[in-house]
Amino acid sequence: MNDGSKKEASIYGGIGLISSRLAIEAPIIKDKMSLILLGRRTYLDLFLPLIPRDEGVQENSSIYFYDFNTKLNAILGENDRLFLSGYFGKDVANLGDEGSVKWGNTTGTIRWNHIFSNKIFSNTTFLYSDFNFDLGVSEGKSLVEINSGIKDLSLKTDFQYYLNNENNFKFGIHGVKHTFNPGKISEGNKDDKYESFEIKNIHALEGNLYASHEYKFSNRLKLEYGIRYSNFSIIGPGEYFNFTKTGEIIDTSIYKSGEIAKTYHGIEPRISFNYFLDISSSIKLSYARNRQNIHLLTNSSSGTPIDRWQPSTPLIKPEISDQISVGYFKNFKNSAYEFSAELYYKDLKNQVDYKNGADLVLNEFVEADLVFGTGRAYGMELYLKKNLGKFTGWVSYTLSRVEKKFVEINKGKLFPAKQDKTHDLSLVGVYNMNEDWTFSATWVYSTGNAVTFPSGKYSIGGKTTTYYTERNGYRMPAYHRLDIGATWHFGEDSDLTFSVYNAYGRTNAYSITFREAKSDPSKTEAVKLALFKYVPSITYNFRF
Amino acid sequence: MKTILNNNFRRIVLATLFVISFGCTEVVDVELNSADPKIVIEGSITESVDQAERYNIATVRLSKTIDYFNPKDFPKVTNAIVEISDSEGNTKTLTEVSQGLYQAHGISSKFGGKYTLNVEVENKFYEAKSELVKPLQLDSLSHFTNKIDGMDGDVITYYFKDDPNKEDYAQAKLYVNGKQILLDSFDLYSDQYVNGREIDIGIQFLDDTTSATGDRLVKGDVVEIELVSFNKSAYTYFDVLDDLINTDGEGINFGGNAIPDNPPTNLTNDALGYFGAYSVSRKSITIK
Repeated sequence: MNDGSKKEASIYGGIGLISSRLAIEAPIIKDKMSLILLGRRTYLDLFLPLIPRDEGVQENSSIYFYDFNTKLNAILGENDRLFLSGYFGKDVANLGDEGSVKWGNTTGTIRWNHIFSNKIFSNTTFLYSDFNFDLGVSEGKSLVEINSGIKDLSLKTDFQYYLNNENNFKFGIHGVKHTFNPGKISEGNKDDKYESFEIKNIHALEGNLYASHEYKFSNRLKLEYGIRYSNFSIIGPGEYFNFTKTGEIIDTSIYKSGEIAKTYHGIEPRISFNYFLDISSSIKLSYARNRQNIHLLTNSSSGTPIDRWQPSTPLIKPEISDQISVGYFKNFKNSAYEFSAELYYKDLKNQVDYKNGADLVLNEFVEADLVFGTGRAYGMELYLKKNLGKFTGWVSYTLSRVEKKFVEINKGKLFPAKQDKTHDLSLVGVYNMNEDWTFSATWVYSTGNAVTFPSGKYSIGGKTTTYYTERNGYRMPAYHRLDIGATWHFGEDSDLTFSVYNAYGRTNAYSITFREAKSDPSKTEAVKLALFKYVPSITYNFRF
Repeated sequence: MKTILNNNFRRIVLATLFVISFGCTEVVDVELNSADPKIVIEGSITESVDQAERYNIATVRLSKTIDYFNPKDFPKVTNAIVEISDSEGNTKTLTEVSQGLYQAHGISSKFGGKYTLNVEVENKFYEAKSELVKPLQLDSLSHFTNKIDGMDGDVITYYFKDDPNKEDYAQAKLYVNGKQILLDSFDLYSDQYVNGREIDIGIQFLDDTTSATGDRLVKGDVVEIELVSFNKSAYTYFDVLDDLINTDGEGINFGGNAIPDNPPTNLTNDALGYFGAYSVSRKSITIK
């Protein structure tokens, strides 16, 4: 979204088969202040009746996404600008009698841009954000709502100081108050089945300071180095536990509001060299350390591909990564083409994963179900882009590996993380045939996620169950998809876009589950759940 | 970080939306490793105190795993040496009463007593220890008919009082006219949130092939409930097993789910299965 026209008002938008959007841009004070309002709404719902009943769609289902964006841009004087923006969005899927999934996101931003002199600038930003995820599951007559979310309040100021042609400094300070709601169950209509249940919120304060210096030794060699100090404190109110190896609670520490339960702090140094071999090519060498206080916990089974974000706690330490990389960059034929190749290696510490058999949903003592270890990631990224001409586009290819290591998993051997994708390839092409027509095509391919599948089965307690040999020992099928589109520009500010998502109808696996064969219960079979095949769409875009 | 969170949430939700709206399922070929067959040991020593005579029996079933897509014909393991010893040093050898099924009677039983299972087969040794706990005592059973999801059904309720002085873990087993009926779930009980309370738990009988019991009860039927008590280690084993068996389903699982793994066994030498000491309380009711 642009900053809004300060000269004259305009309305633009698009009307499509599955979604529409509308934006209004208007100056409030000519040349001083302008406003943009933008709204979008999808209506996949309309197509639900077209899907046969036996495909598992419930009656009274609805699916939609909408969001609303507003941005105010004001020039306060020669040296000051102010931006106010707000965003509100919601995704809703009602599955008739089965339940619903809702996702909501609200953010508000105030940014003040100040020029001290032609050498020093500052940007001060206040940000409020609220993400929440709500899952409603019908259980008989009662509706159980499970919701979780993250609320952040942050304030930061960044300074830039151009001392001279050779020296450029950046520094700043950043504070955040996080409130994590890991999960809460509440019942719509009071039945007896579930007690209300709430995992206590986690409160944290984050403070960061940074400074960096860019120095040009010569036209050929540039050095950039910096340091960041990061501080993350988990504060009360809250209850934190210590556990034995088998997950029994040893003790509980209760913290009052504002009391510090645990502080993690450390420095993150970074340095990079850029060396120009000639006018069109350069090499870059860099090192950077990162500390991460929000951890991604992934489910290794292919049945519920839902991940969970978990903040650091007194038991969960910040993840630390040290990355070195080397890159080569080259422009050809007067910048008609650009090419880059990079190699990287990342050393990962304080990695977190679920231990075997861990409970994934609404687990009050999730820390008792975690293991801590190390990991590494390395790979090669290749990129080629064509910038000029009737035909433009790019190719990118990544060959990589992400591995983790925990004493408690796979006998302490390195194993591929869920995100490990050996090959990741994208091809994007745009052909501007003439003033009226533009054609585009995108093809993506990636190796399937590492996943845990059973390696056998056995009988126990009169039932048949699955036998596992290792975590993430299998792969989901490779993911690939072709999207094509054509745009017809007619009139001054109007066009029609025709597109087909997943043009050759690849049934990419969303999940693979295992079950007793319906036709013959003595057998077991694997069932793939695929996303929709082709999605054709037509959109009319306009502006006046 | 913000955008990562944002995108991740969005990805999940959009993916969910798409699946729900346009998802289609199909049976596919998945290449699974042919893992070497692994031994499965299902051992128990069962003691019940509310029968006319004290009753105990040791049973051990030995079998092997098979490839996931093979028909359910699990090889039995024969000619094993199977022994159970108590904490006083008495050892009893179990006899192979049928292929892969080993049994013995008359092992002394004492609450708090520890039992050790030893299995020797194919030149490998396996061991497990378990402790016999004081059982929860079933108080009574009741029967009534009720509307369940708009259908007529029977409900058998079993009543017992939780022991306030210890942690209690148990499983209910259901028999109709002497035949065990396997319920969908293991019907596990833990007193974690209900220590010391009066407990009543109902089992539904519907005239519906999708229900666990599959049938309604008729006059003259004898329904028996066995409340099997065990320690926390056994509870954890069955709890994880229950999760595994009941999430090997179709589509997306919204509810409780677990990282797939073999349940935590007390057997050594990488065997699958569990050896438990179980104390049992029984009650029965005749349908009028």
